[in-house]
Amino acid sequence: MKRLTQISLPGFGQLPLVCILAATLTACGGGTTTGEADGESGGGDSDSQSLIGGENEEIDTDNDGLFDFEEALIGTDPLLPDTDNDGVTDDAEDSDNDGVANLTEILAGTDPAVADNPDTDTGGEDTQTADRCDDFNSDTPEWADNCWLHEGGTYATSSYTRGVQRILWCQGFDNDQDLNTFADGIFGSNTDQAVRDFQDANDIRIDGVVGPQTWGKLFEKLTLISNDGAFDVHTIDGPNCDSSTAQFYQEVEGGIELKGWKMAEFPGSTNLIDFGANP
Amino acid sequence: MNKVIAVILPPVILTGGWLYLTIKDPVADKNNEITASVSPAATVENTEPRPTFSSDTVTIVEAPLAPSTPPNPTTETSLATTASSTLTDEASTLGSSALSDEAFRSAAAQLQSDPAFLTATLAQFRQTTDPTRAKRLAALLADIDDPRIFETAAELAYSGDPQSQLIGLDLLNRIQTSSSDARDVAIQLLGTETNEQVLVAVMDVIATPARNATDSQRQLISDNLFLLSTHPAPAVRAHSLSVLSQWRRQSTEVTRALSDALLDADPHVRASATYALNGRAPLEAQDVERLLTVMENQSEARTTREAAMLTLQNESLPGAERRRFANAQKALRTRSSKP
Repeated sequence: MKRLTQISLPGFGQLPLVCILAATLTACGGGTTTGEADGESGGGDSDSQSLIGGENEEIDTDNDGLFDFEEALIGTDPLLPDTDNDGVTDDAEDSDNDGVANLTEILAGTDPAVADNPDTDTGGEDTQTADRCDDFNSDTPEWADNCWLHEGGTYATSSYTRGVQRILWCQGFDNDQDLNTFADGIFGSNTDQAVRDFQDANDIRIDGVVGPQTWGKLFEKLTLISNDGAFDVHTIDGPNCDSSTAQFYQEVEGGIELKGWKMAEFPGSTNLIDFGANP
Repeated sequence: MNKVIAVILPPVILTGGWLYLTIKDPVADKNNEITASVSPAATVENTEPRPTFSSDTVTIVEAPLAPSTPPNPTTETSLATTASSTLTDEASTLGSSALSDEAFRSAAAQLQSDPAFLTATLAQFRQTTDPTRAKRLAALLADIDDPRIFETAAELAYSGDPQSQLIGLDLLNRIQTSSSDARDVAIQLLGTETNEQVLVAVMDVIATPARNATDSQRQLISDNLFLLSTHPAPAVRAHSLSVLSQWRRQSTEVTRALSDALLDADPHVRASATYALNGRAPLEAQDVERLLTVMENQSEARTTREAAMLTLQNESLPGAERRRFANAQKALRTRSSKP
């Protein structure tokens, strides 16, 4: 199987970056968003439906583990496995000197040419992964690829955080605070503790980071209660919340869930706000 | 009683470790050779079959030497003495109720700047039997730069009393990314702890890979977690796979282990493995087949199926598999399929 060919680099934006970098790409106009949506509803079998570009981009001329277009990004020679002839192959090199090898960064979705922010509070590989953001409420309707949230992270202050806080609060992880105080949209020490308690209660890795599995567990706390035509309406299970109160809304069309989650401004409110990363 | 255990147990563990090193079996020697042969920048993986977990193999992976700052039997006494003279009302109530984020920052700043207040708070942390208060204090203490934080956490982690251990491990969890000693405690306990709940908490200590972990630590963590991935308790297997995948993102050996875990009888283990496979490459045909099976399995948890879908959507699939993927994706996103 081939490696992920979709690269999202922080600070650039996914589609323009790929268009800039990959001269051989032919699908820049499509992007992943529309391609994926088309693929799921159409049920076709074209590889290009959910991947950026075609086969040409997946050439590794010097067989060093990096595709040629990735080497163009990093600045290494696609014809030489060890561009600077220092005994370290280009995939294992650390072009931005941030302690993480080029290939590791590519696989993690971070920019191998730009040092990762040393100020984040988790250290190690999670310095990158805890800030990983594969989705801005735009690519897929699933929550597991939402931005990683944690105290001090890039998306610590966002409507994502606010939504997570509301689910945690409804579940009883409220730290003895009322909803308005707890769900302030800021990932602070109280939210960190609530996430840890939630992870503990759900038998998943306790790291205080809302990553894919924690997102998945949070999503499991939603229950579909109605459909108003354009949206599926969900409530949040939990001892602190009324199980009939509308909390989250998901766009649907022809019975198919679409991207674009929204949440009630406050429980039961008909004023909907985006549920997504907006730091 | 706990205090007595806290004083006695660490030397016992260390003595046990010494005895173990003295009489270790050939399998252990072989494993040590493997460990020693892995150079810091090695990218070639060990191809030896990995041992599976059993009561006989629990200590196959050599525990690290004692932390550079071992638990000090005299610390508790000196702390208690000092604390008794400086204990303030503020310390005695700190953590008894929730703190706002602002109050948290203020308390942390005071702890950092006032050694007596920190001493009193550490004493409170040791003494509290309220797990909620212990967590609040641990969150505060983790923000403080002082060697006594690690010492206190390590003593509790070595105490042998499960409740005290969990409190100490929680604090170690919060400081591990910046504390090599905390990592060493976790590594040692990975190879010796038998209480499943405590063992899971030990793995949580190293839930976040640390950039400054030594190659030796990385190797020991990896070897221990591999061993625990075959543990009879599903919670231990699920945790070990989840943490292992964080530490070794590029390892094809780990990818194979995660793929094998997709066939585990326990749904929680399958869920952990499915999430952990996301973003790993390269996937082989067998991995894709297993993920497709997870995705298509209507008795599997919806979120697990979605996790499989998110992993596969980044793969370039052959025609037949692409069709299966599209059909399963459509089924997952069709509203009527909601539970």
